[in-house]
Amino acid sequence: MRAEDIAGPGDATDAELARTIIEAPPGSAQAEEAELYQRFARRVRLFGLRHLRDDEAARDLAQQVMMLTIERLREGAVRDPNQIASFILGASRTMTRDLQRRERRREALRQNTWHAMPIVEPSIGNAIDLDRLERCMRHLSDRARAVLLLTFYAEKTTTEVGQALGLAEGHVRVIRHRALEQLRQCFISDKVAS
Amino acid sequence: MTRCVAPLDLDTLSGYWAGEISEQDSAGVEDHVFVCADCAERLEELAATAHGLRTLARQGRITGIIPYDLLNRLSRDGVRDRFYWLAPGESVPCAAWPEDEIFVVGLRVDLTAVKSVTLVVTGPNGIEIGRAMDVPVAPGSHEVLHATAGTIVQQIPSMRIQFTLTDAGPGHRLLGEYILQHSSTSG
Repeated sequence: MRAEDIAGPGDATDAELARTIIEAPPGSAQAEEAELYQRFARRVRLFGLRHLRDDEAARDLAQQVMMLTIERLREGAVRDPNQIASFILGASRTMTRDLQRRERRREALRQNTWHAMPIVEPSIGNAIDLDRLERCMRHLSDRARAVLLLTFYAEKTTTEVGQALGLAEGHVRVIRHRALEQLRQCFISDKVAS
Repeated sequence: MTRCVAPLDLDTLSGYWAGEISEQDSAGVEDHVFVCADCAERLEELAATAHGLRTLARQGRITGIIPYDLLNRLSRDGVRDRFYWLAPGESVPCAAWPEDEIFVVGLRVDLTAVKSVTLVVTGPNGIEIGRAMDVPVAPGSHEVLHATAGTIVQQIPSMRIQFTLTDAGPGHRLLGEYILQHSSTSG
């Protein structure tokens, strides 16, 4: 029985989606493939952003990894559908290492021709409302703002942030944690207010 | 959907995103995020915030006291700044132009034995227009940098702006007063 026959692919577990793709004639479980893509492409892209620090490369990585995953599922080469997340993470790691070793390969990855599927590209970063973030940043203390900007913009380590601000590392972490939480709360209340 | 049974805390996620945790711990975070939609969503939220912070900074949309490292990074990224240095007691004419993305005032000050400062910004008739409380300063530094987004400064009418810097420690010792005679360029 296909996962979509039960309650639609959106309600299926990751393993159920993988199993359906394996069991269906190759290419016929498009809804499940699209759902699996939606779920995991975002995570692979996050992984890529974290390791490659390049949005375009991360997007390429997500597409390549998901293409490989779905091909392997169609071929029945993924033996345990319960381990689909692990398979995708493993593929992400391997491909990222390749990308890091050979930057040139990026161009080849971009030229990949994969059949069109009903895919909404995961958008990370573009989704944030900058005006709202700017307003919320103003509610933070100067030290909290400085910690966030030094960490996520200037890409300083906690030790370096501490040195720049005359703070102990532990204190920097506490400030960062609270500032992120404060931003999150501000975003929620600002959203409600507007 | 796979649901989370042991959510990763924000400290772990931010440490991961900032590249500050060990490879082994990072691998643990990744193992979890790939099987957990909830934590993946929270990490995505954090990544979006980090991306937003970088974008705001690159657009000069930063206001408040900033450390030197941040100013250096802004310069490296080509953010166009208008910079004024002031010594204690000094009064300097200033203006911001449409091409200025960020407006920075460097307040020279003796910070010997000072751990943190409070800065109060006042306009005409002593009306307070900004305050930064208990901001830590790097040991041995000799200036405090205050940034304002260029778009904000460009809207300020011509006026006298005073910066009053005090030691945030016991006694609240006055460290310096600085004046900017701001001229509007918005016509």
